[in-house]
Amino acid sequence: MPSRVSARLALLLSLVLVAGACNDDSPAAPSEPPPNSGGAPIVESFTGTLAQNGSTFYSFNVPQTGQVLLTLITLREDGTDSTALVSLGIGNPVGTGCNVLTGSVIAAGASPQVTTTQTPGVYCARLGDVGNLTAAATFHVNIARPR
Amino acid sequence: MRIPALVLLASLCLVSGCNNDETPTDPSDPLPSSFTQIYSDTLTRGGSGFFSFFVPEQGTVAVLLVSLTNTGTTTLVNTPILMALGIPAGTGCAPLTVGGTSTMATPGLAAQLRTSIAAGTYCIRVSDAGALSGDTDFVIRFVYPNPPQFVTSPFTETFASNLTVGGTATRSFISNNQGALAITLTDLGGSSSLVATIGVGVVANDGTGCRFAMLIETTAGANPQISTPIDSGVYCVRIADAGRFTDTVSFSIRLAHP
Repeated sequence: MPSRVSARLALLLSLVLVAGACNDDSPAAPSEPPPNSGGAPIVESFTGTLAQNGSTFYSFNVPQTGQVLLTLITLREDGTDSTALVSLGIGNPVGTGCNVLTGSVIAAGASPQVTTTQTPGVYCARLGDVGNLTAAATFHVNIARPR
Repeated sequence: MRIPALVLLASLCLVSGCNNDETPTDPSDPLPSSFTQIYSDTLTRGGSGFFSFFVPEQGTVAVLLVSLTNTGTTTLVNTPILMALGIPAGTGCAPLTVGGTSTMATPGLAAQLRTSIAAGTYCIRVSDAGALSGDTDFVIRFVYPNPPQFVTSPFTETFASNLTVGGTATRSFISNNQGALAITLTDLGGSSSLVATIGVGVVANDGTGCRFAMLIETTAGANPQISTPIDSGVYCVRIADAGRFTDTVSFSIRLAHP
């Protein structure tokens, strides 16, 4: 009998250990706040002129983790809408430029061409000619970021 | 009694199986804990420019305007320009509004702007406050955190060689401490009337060599021709024929460090 009792005790102890191990005593990681939990995103307008073979950037603050959406809404060469492919990306301001982390080569359109989730910090949106512009082009980029 | 041992062993295996937080994370480059960066560019009359950088934790950043020269020349400009610490915003650098984060600066070898900042992304903005008469090349060095101080005694080193007609000679040197630097041209061809130019500054990272904070024409003598406050760091001194050499001459420059 004593051996059966001790076996049951050992089994119980083992199960408690297993349960304890799977239910770690360390504090649970705080859950990530849902993106843009502070309300509607803020949209900043980045407008200007993109030189042929040139690039330009715009810095903005992301105060809380959330989605950042870049939309090249218009690109106009010689006053007419252009379908030229240009590079659009998000990165960090470094030195005298913008070090792109995520980006793609896109044409102007109504839908966001670059979508990322960013932690709080200062970021930049960079627009660059990849050799397709035939003249300097005016542009309008919308930057939607957490409030 | 064997059953409990097996159960315990199985349980320990399960414990190990539950420990799935050990998944290796992607290695990432460690953030630099300190840096020295050179920002050199041209400031147009009435214009501005900025340079962005990231600091990983609270610390002091020291900003030194080393050199201002008329664009395309080595003619020094002693007109103050506005240096400000800010945050990249929009297409520019928005200056911080707290005190001690901006200054009107003229070139030197000791930081004109020194302030403590929290972790984050910042920018150094330089702008013409309206006093520049034309486009001006500038060199700014900024160090994070504050330049380290080494416990060393003041010391003297000598830079001696020969200088050809129309020639130049440059030497880099390290200042271990913040303090006063004294530069003395002690000998120039054994003459007391022969003139050379001596400049002291920082080596820019654009291949243009030593960019001067100070540049003088002088004869040799026993007393320092240049005395200036200096931060710890790497600097350069250059001697050049001022256009009056007729033959190669020897020279000797004494650098008395803080």
